[in-house]
Amino acid sequence: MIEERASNGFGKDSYTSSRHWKTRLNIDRIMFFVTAACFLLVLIPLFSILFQVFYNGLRAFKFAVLLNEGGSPVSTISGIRHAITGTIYATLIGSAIGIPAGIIVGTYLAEFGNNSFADILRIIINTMVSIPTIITGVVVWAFVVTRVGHFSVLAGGIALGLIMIPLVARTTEEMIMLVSPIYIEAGYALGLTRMRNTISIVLANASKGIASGVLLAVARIMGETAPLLFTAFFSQASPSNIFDPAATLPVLIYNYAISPFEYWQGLAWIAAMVLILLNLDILFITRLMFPETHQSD
Amino acid sequence: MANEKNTANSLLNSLASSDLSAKSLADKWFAPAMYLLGAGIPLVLSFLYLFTLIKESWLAITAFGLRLFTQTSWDPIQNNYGVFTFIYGTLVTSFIAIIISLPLGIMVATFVYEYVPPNLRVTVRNSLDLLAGIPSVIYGLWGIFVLIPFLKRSVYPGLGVVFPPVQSAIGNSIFSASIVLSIMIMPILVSIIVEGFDTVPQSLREAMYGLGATRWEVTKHVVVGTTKPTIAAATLLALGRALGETMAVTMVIGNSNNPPSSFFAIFEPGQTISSLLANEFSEASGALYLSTLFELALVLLVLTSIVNILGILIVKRLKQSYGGQ
Repeated sequence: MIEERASNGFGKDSYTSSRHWKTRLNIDRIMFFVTAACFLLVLIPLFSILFQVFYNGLRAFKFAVLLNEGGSPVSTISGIRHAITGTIYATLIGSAIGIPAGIIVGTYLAEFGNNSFADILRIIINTMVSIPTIITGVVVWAFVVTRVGHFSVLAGGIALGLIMIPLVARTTEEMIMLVSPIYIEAGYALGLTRMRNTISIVLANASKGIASGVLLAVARIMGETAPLLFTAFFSQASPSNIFDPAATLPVLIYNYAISPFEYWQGLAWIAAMVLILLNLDILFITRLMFPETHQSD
Repeated sequence: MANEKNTANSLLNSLASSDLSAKSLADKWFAPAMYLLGAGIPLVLSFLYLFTLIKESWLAITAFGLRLFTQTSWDPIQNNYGVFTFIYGTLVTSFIAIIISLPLGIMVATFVYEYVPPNLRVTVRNSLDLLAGIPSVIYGLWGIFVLIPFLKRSVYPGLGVVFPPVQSAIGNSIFSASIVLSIMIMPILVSIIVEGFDTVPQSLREAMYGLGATRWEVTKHVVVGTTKPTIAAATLLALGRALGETMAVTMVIGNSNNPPSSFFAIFEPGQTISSLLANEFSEASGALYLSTLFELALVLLVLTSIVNILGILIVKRLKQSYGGQ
């Protein structure tokens, strides 16, 4: 081999010690470092965001902030409790709409969706996932807020629910598709009706995966800001019922971050810390409970 | 094992709890109800979005026609509206974001898929998922208090030496918004490209190695070469995300309704469609003003939907051609 190459004009030594090969090897090595550098460059913002949120959040943190309602920026006892309440309200309403509707749509697609009509529905659902969320806010404003007559946490919850439906539908279908057909056939062989089979075999077997997908969707809507700007709007007090406008953590972060008051900016960092902790918790719980299921956007 | 046991249990339970031969009323209506709800919910929702936006923006559509898109003045007091500035802002921020993050994304995907040992890959994926899971308003917060001061202190002065217009750059500008966007679209870009790398048959790589190619040559010629359609799809889906991104952009773009001073006015404050909506929608008074904002929402919906459907169709065709994995 080597002798042959040598006689073929690659010089005295084998090709592997030739200059050309060394250049190629060096390019490979350099590219390793270049791609690694790109990767680190991409990670820098992630670490910077996490670090800054916890650094600034902890610096401004005091427990009273979590317990006190909102207030003027000059009173240094005002807190973010109203926004936490509002986020819980809006997320619960959103989940109450989004989870059942999403599961029904996903089950339909998986169980009855072996046709070209369902293929079109799938494209619609995938497109709905990526509709800018501010558009949902605008639509819900026209449909709910103008009818009720004022901003309400109910309208905010509806907007979040609409965003959640396609997310849950997609993950439900994916998870049902993973259920082994043997179980389903066994169910039919035992004479189960289609409803029993769908509920007790299909959904029961996919329940873990669906639950993990649902949790991720909850985490996602919890951080949504744009659809709440003209639906739940903002307020300095906790909502007393679902027809009140309400502050939510993301909208509070937005409003306070662009305000000129240092105290409010501190509250924004605290709210960001709370929001990220809630988010991470859900992500963490999902990973702990369902290590085998993994999904990303 | 546990799964099988569960299934057996649930089967026994259903056997015990129901009379199998009898088809109850609920059973009879199950399939029709699923058809009605399962197909109905997405159809009704998409109809609701389109109908509401078209109905509410009809006033502006009939009043301005296509003139709306070429005019640059945005004047709610005179009730005279032109949206060129916002279309410009939306397209330019998204394109710059793609220009920054596409090459980076391909490099990162190469590193993650071709260079990193498989057991590290999970950690890498988790951190990308984490990046994707951070709410966009927190990117905005970070943009205001960390990124913009950094750009003003360390990047713009240096860049200004090479490229004089940057010297006058203020922090809140189209360019700053593009940088935030490029960070935000990175996870979706990388995860789709990595998925694409995964579909390249191992035998192709091995054939190249067998010919004496280095890892970089395999990546460049075979992996990236065969995944070009996936990269195109990833670009489209990331573009769709960037076009509609609201909060982070609103917080760093400067929110100026003045028309761009030149074609390449990326170092001045600007406005995108979504940031305009976030800023002005809840304060809009007057039917025509509101209707114009609705028309902008409609334009944004159509724009992102077209880009996304194109991306989805490419991904779908790829999945079919690779045998549905």
